[in-house]
Order: sequence, then structure tokens, then C-alpha cells
Amino acid sequence: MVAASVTGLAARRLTSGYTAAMVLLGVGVSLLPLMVSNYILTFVLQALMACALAGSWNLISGFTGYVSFGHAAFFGLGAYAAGIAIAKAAVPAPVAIASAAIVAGCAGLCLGYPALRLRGPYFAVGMLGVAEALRVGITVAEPVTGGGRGLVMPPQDVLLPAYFSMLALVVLIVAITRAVATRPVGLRLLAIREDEVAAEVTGIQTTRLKLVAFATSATLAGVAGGIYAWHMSYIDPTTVFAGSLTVRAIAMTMLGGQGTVFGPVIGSVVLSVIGEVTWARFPFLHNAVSGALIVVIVLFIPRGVTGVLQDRGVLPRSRTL
Amino acid sequence: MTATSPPPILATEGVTKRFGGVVAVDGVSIGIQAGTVTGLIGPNGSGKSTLFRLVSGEIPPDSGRVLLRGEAVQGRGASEINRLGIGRTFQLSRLYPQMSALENLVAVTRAPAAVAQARAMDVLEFVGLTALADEYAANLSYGQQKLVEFARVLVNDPDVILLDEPFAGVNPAMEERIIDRVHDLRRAGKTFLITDHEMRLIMALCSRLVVLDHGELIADGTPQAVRADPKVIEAYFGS
Repeated sequence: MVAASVTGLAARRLTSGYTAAMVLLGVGVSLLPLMVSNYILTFVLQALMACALAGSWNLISGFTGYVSFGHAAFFGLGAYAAGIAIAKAAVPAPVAIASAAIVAGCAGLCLGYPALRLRGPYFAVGMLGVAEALRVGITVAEPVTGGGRGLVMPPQDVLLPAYFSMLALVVLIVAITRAVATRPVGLRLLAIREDEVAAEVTGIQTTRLKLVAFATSATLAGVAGGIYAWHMSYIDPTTVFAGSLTVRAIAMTMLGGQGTVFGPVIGSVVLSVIGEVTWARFPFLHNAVSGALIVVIVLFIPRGVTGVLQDRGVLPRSRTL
Repeated sequence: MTATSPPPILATEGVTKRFGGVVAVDGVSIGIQAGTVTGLIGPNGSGKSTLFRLVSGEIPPDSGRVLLRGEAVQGRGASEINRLGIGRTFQLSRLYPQMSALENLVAVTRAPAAVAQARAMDVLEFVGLTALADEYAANLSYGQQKLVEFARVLVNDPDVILLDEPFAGVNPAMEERIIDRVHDLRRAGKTFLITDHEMRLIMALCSRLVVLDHGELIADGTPQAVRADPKVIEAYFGS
């Protein structure tokens, strides 16, 4: 049973306070370039990228419960779509990033159609296989992709534009998630997670909803990949299709709260800071931390920090959080 | 059925479903008139739940047809059949546990988003659950869960409503509430197919009973006639 719940005016105040804190965080991050060194900016850019991956993963897996272990596939595809466009056709960044969105989104539609027929662990492992197959495919397609040696783009200093692009992407993902979560469609996605058979029997068009959510998620992950490629001017298959990208996105979302609006943001702030503190001293520890954390969260706080705070009556049970 | 009766709103024609070597439902043909309450009874394992799943589209029949308003709908899929106007509850209620009672209804309603909330509240009021609207489904009592599930079916105003053991584990006050609502809805033209082991309630509620045993239809008639049918007595008590 719920120990206490916040209702009425107090709940509305808390909800607006919480939302205001998140908006402030966004404003703070957007003012950061005025205040800090490029080292810190690069770190925050990495955190924003992780947040974009977590937020886009949340849209399909957090809401519908279709846990994908292959989310990096769309990041990688987006990175290569943008990278090839820049390296081979010298297109401007917006065009490159748009092509990342299109390629990743189309891949999401084509892969989601068969993959979303699988359920539970079969879907999770199926997606892991997809990401791995794409990594190998990109490696083999050496004439176009540069193969295992990677793809080199003309180097350019785009830290600030990349920073603001990634920030804009995160804001867009949060806005989409909020729009979904506060409308009946968000409840329909959650219904798939809660009981898919019941969802179908009550008339929810599960197949179509899952596919749209999956393609949207893939598109947004692809944009993150595109911005990454543009910023780094060098990508290789091992880095952009890395399973650790997916695992971190899962850990961040689960920590903050799956199927919530700001959960992935909270999770990515916490885990990025922990990662930054630990990696200099213990280079391999932060991957282990992500893995261990997933286990702990699944066992003890399956609804993440947001869920814990809601159950304790600290936060109201609003779908806008 | 007489020649003058209107075509049934819901019908099964020789519907058969096998699971491995077991014939769960064996050539069952039933026609149900609009605005009636029909009881589907039979011993455990007689095929009642399978027939419900066939009618609601969760599983396709191996042979035979399911007709809604004269149109074959078998194999259409549960979501589409619900949209065509057949709603069902489950033997063990299947609410979305991490959603409030209200959200359970809002999630499935096909009313426009702007009025979804109001529509859901209206239906909760109809089943007398307004006070529990914001409670998580997981925190509701078993009887309350059954009532919310009933409300969740009603939110899209289906013509045909299948209730799978609506009275199992429900206290008398709530039993009465369910019975009253079924009568209200029947008067409004809704059609019910109800299965339950609580014979007292089934007899009181239904104008007609169909009886399954080992997947076959063994009796079909008024509650009085069915109760006196030797085949039914044998199915329930053995010879």
C-alpha cells in the first residue's frame, strides 16, 4: 500500500516546482558555455548525448516494456549516415543530421515491423543481434564506410554548435515524452507494458502504436548519432555500435524511472557524474557500475527514483514528472 | 429459435478449437439476440473460457465462424473485434496495475483526448467507483478490480459484453451492484453473455442458458428447462 500521497494544491505546487527545477537545469546547461572550460563542455556534451540516448530508449522501452538491447544500432546508423554525407558529399551539418534522422527512422520502421512481434527476452536479444549485425555490416562495407579503420571527416571545431544541437535534441525528446505521457496515447503505451493481451482485448491498436514509438525512438537516437559524428569528425563501428551505449541508456532510464518524463534526465545526470568521477581513477569501473546498477534497480526499485519518491509521498503521482 | 425472431447480433457457427489433442470447443453454434442476457455454463474445463477467447478474437478458431451483426469476424484480431463492438472482462481481472482506476479507462477510451477524462469519470460513476478514481489498480480490492474492469469495458460502449465469472470473489453488496448495472444496460439494448459458477446469480440474471460439456453444446433453453435437463444434471454430477 501507499504510505502517503500528495494531493490537491500541495501536489500541484510540487509538480510545478519539480518541472521548474528541470527547466532551470536546462537553462543552466544552455548558459554553461559562457562560464566553463572546453573540457567541462565536452563532458556535458557527452552527458547530453547519453541523456538523448536514454530519453529515446525510454520512448519505446520505458513506456511499452519492450526492452531493447540494441538501441545503439540506431545511434550507429545515424552516425554513419551523417558521417558519410559529410565525408563523401561535404553537405552542411543540418543536411547531414537530417539524413541521420531519415536513415535511422526508416531502419526503425523496417526492423521494428518484424522485431516487435517478438516479446520479452526474445525481443531484447533480437535487437542485440540487430545491432551486432549492423556493426559487422558497416565494417564490411569498407569502400563506403571506411570499414574497421573508421570514417574520417574533415576536422572542424564545432564544439559549441554541436553542444547546442545536442541540448536542443534533449529538449525535443523531453517535450515529445511529456506530450505523450500526459495524453491518452501515453497510457496506451503503458498499457502495452502492463498487460499486452488486455490492451488488445480493450481495443488498443498495439502493433501500430509499438511501431510508431519504436520508429520515433530510432529517429531520435539516429539524430544523436548524427550530431556525434559531426562533432567528432571521426567514427568507427566499434564505438558507435557499442553495446555499452545501450547499457548506459538502460541504466540511466531505469535509475530515473521508466516511462516517466524526466527520469532519463535524472538518471543521466547522476550516472554521468559518477562516471566522470570514477573513470579517471578506475578506467573500467564505470561500465561495471552501469551493469551492477541495472541489477540493483530491477531488484529493489523497479520504478526508479521517481517511483520511490512517489511511493514515499515526496512527489505526487503525476504523469508530467 | 422461431422463424420470426430477428437475426442474432452475435453468433457462432460450428466453431471448433483444438489444443494439441484436446478439442476445447467442438462445433459450437449459438445465436444470441440483441438486448438479452445469456448465461454460458458448464463444468470446469468444458470450454467456456476458450469460447470467450474465440469470440473476443484472442485466438482464431480452427474452423467455424463467429458472426457479429451477421458479419464474419473470426481471425480479425482482438483489438479490431473490440472496436467492432465486443467487450470482455477476464476471469481474473486484468487491469493495468500501475495505473489509477481512472487511467485504466482513459487508456482504452476512443473518445477524443479532450473529453476522455470526463467520459471515463461518467462510467466510473455509473458503477459507483468515483471515490476510487485516483487509486492505483494494484491497490484496489478484488471486487473493486472486477468492477473497474467492467467499467473499462463499458467506456467504449460495446453492443455485446462478455463477462467471465463476474461474481467470483465478489462480496454480496458488489454482486448486487453488478446485477443492477447489467439490468440497466440490457434495458438500454446491450447484449450480455455471462459465465459464472454462481448458479443462484446466473439463474436470476439470465433469460437463457447455454451449457457446454467437453467442448460441446449439450443444452440451450430457459434456466428452468436447462436445470431439469438430464444431460446437464449428468454433466455436473456424473451418472
